[in-house]
Amino acid sequence: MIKKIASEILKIISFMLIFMILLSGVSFLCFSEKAVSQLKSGWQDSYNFLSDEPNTLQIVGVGNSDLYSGFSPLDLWKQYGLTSTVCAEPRQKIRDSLELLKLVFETQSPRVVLIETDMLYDRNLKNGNVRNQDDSLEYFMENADPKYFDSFIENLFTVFKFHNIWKSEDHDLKSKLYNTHGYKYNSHTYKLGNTDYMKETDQEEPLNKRNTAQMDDLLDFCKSKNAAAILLAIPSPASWNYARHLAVERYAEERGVPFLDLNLCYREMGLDMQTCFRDKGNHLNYSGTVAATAFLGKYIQENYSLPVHSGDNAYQHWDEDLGKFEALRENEDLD
Amino acid sequence: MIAYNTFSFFLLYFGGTFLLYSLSPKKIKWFVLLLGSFVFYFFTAKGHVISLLICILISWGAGLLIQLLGDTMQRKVKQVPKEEKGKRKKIRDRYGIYKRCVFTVAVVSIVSILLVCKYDDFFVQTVNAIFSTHIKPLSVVHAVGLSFFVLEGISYLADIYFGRIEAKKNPLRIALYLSFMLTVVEGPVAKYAQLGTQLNAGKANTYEDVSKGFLRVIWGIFKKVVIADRAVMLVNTVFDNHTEYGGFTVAAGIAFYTLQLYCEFSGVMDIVCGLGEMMGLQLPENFARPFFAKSIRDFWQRWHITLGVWLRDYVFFGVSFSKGFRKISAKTKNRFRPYYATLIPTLIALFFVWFTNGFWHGAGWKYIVYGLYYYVLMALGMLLEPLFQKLSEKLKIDRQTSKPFALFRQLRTFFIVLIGMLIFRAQDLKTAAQMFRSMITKIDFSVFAAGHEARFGMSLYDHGAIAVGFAVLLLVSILREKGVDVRGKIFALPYYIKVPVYIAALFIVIIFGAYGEGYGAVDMIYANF
Repeated sequence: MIKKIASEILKIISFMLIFMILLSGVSFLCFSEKAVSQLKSGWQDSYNFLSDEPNTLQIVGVGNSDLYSGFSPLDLWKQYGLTSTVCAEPRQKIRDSLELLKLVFETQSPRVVLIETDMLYDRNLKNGNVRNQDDSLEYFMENADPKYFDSFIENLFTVFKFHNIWKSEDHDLKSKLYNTHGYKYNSHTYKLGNTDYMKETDQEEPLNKRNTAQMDDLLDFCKSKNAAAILLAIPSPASWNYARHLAVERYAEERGVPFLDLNLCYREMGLDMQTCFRDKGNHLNYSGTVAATAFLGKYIQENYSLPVHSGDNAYQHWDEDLGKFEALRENEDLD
Repeated sequence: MIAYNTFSFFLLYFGGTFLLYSLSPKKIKWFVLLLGSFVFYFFTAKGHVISLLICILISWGAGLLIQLLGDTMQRKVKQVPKEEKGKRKKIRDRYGIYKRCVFTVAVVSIVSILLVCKYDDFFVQTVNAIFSTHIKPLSVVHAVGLSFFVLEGISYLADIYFGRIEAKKNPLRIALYLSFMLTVVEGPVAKYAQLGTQLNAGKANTYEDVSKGFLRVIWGIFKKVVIADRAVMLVNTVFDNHTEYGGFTVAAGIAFYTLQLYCEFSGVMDIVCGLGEMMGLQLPENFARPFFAKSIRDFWQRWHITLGVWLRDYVFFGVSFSKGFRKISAKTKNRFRPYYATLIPTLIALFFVWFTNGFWHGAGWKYIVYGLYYYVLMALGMLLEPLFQKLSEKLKIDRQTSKPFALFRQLRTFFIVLIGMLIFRAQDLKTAAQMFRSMITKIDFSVFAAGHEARFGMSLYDHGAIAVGFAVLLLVSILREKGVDVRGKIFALPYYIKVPVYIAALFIVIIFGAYGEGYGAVDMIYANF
């Protein structure tokens, strides 16, 4: 009986060992960051920078879907000759942004870091209700987010992180559009009403402690790398309001970093509520992105003296990427 | 909420509990489960455990009181000589009333938790709309698993009330039954006799349990992560932008939602039942290949089975055996032909079943209509049954053995279910009606257009993965419908073949799962009910 049980336990343990060895092997050989970047030029989404030549990126942006839907590096290149990349994932956490930035700075030395501020409101209640800041239970729960453990496992076995590489074949039209330095093209339109979603108020929507603590780390990291951080709010009528603006503005003042809230000047930059948004006003569509990127580019040009690389042979592939992107956009009815 | 298909659940909450459970002596196994379940529930509900605690306390206290009253009644009745029937009856009646009072108050209290936490917005909005008032809802936190542990709490009390089980003296035993980590979020809705007894017994798990259970877990993850979480992209695109689409595209959206919901819910059930099996626990089945159903009744006997059983045992029988209802039955017997005399009371009782079914799913009119949609169709079917019988006799169709007729019934049921899914998924009833109209009137073949796959947020490979996933699902379902024990056959393979099979299955799920880059996190649908 004992022999039987021992043999069964041995079977289970050996199965687990074999699986772990294979998982590690596959992660290391086929799905490591290095392997992925060598295998695919123009790896999609937030890791697109892996295929950029070292020290060629001037601007890097981190954030969630608001950023990858609202800032287009290829349009920035087209209009201002500046190189940039977007490291943004759906519902990206600030801590994930820091990890991505660390990876970016291993091969790049961007002068400007755009930090999208919707991440600061990650985990606030959807209906706009504010959680009590002094509630220790809430704070404890915020910090006990299992997402961090999940990220830890994904970083340990990178196959979980890069398993989608099988999707990015060259003949996949969608993935061609992914080769946009992290921007995700989408031309869907959702017509919004003309109500001003940035109606002024005195009341702030407080930031939660966990997010501000992580944002502090992110800003400290930028400082340690001599990169200028800009807190950036991308227009989003569905998820942004003046109460949030006030809170982030105060935080930015306390930290001494510039805060550029594009929601305040959406009219000024020419965003049409009828044509520039998608998915019920959560995100900008491509038309909105072009306007927002132009506005942002102007701000960066006026405030940071970054060298213009248009016409520079070393950056010729940016023109090629732009050409491909525009051709695809015009010739294919893809979104 | 901590989803069942996350590393944190598998490795921390379940993994830790499983390891301790397997290693601990029989006597304390139940306590290990309780501890693990409480830690899991505390974190998944983000500390909002009050509703669960109240439900546990009511179930425990009222259960004990009902039991005590029942026992006292028995004792007092025994003390009275058999000849004094009147006195014995009096005692029974008196204690019957006491028991009924306690039972009713307890059930109402438990249901009140549900009404306050889940339906307050709905009630307040309805009142405001009718009386043009501006009452503010309480907006109480909707605790995770509320709709499920409330049903279990009621079933526990009802089973004590009807003498099917005995009340547990230790409140922690009830706590384990109501908060068990594998059933608290999405069910299955288990009775105490089915689940509580097993949990408290501390049965040891075997190698076979672990091996077979693990395979079922992989199968569940496959359904959820490879198929459901991928189909959601097309579903959201079509339903969120429904005015842009019509015809086949809307039909595809509905079909994909049906696939998504089935793979998501049954996938999660496979995960929890598999994990239960790994611990040596048999959780009640919630699905039995529903799309092979030949009638609506058959469908609901195969879809969310435990909810159907609960509604049958505690609503249908509850209504059917009530005093007032028995009077109605007696009246119909005298006034109608035998078929309708039995049918009419059944239909009245079924109304309560389907109303509860719809209302349980969500706080909104569309859910009530969703329940009543099935009720009306089922009622019509039952009322017209004599006509159908005559018709099939005239057309010489053997309804029992004819294969084409069986196929027709299967397709008809599937179509009815699709419309039900449209009501269920659409934002509201108006949207559902609009989508149904545009599906029929608007010609839109764009779903088949070249390069259109990206418009639905899906690449060609996503469509391919769904197609292959669906083919595998269909194959396994057909085999299981024919009685083939697929898991048993894999388990019977020699170890050196079984290991590569398991590992291949795991890698298929890892590589082809719709998670991470390019995919949004998908919540468990039923966990929100």
